[in-house]
Amino acid sequence: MSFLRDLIDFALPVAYAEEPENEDEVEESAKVEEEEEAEAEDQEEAVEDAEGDDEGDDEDEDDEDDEDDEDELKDPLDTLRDECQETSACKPYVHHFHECIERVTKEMEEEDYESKHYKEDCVEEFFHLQHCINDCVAPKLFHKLK
Amino acid sequence: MFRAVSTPLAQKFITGAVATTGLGASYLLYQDSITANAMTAAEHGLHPPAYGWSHNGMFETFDHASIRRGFQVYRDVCAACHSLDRIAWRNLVGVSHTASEAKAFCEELEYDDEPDDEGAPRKRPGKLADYLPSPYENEQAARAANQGALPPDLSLIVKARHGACDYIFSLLTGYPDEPPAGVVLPPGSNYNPYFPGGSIAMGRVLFDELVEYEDGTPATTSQMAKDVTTFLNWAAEPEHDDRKKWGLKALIVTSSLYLVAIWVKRFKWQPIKNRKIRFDPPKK
Repeated sequence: MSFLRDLIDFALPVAYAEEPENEDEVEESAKVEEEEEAEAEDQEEAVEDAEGDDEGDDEDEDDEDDEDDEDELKDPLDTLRDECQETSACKPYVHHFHECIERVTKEMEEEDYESKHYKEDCVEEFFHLQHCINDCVAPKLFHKLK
Repeated sequence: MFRAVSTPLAQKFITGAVATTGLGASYLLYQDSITANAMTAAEHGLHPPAYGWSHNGMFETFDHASIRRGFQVYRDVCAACHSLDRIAWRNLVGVSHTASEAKAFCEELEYDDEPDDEGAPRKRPGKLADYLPSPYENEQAARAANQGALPPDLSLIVKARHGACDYIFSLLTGYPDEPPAGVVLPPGSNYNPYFPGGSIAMGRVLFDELVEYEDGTPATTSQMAKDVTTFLNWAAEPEHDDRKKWGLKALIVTSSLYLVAIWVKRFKWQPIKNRKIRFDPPKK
């Protein structure tokens, strides 16, 4: 198929007038994402506070500092993954994953956790989420890489 | 004994005992299967998605700029632990580097030379015909340096793993910030969903701006992973580009020969197919 596409590309005149616009779009979407991320991080902070995680706060502050840097190199893969998490297709998986983490963390705090016969983990939920994100990322990623 | 079994009461008793044992065993097996950790998704590893590799198509060749960058990533990052036994410096010439560049690489290194007149070992600078050096002397040394885990040789790694390029790329970029809740890892191992079983001895090695590309490509994690995977695919299939070129030639030649064969057949058969057989009955 790509051979045919090359033939067509070769036969038809192509102008790349849209490229700068695309970049602008990407930047804009990146900005929007950063805002969304900031919100998400606020939520995460709240969760971490509730869990009594002391180290979490410091890390989050560092992350925010990084984002203020406009020159900072951002991996298109991370950007796409964050974007894809927000799509309507993947939202349920994110929800299930977070629910599972909450459930398992609660279970781990129980006293008899060590002696339990069956200990749940969130691998399956994680896999479902990653699968969804991958399906969304894979067709787009290599157009953003050289 | 045979007589005792044949009484109706004993027969009922035996049937009952067999039924109870069977049902009991089935129930226990079923109970065990509910919580058993076999044939789980984690055991098989997460399947990598299909990425749009530039060399995927039937007539596509490797992106050689990417191979060149990938070699840089291999040399700066992977070569610290992984060998690349089947690639010699000469293999790089004309693929990713010029002869003088490859010579400059190997001359930085020392290889064993023939012993001198007293039989003492000597060293010499590398030549193009030398193979890429291994980071460890042997397997034991490699295991000792890596807490018992052996970093595999990367020469054929793309061919040697299900999912090939997609798997290598996903493995390199797939380390999550932390393993999913409830996952217990053995000491000294890291979580990677793409690795069957999930716990891999290799940690995440690629981070943004780890290397500085000479062609100015932004060295993001995914860019480095893509380049080094392309390089490793070339290392596993150095004949790739030639193979596809020969494939194209073979297709052109065989399909034109096929058309010629059809034409020749029709040409030869034309008079036979067109002849008319007439039977004139003898007149009385």
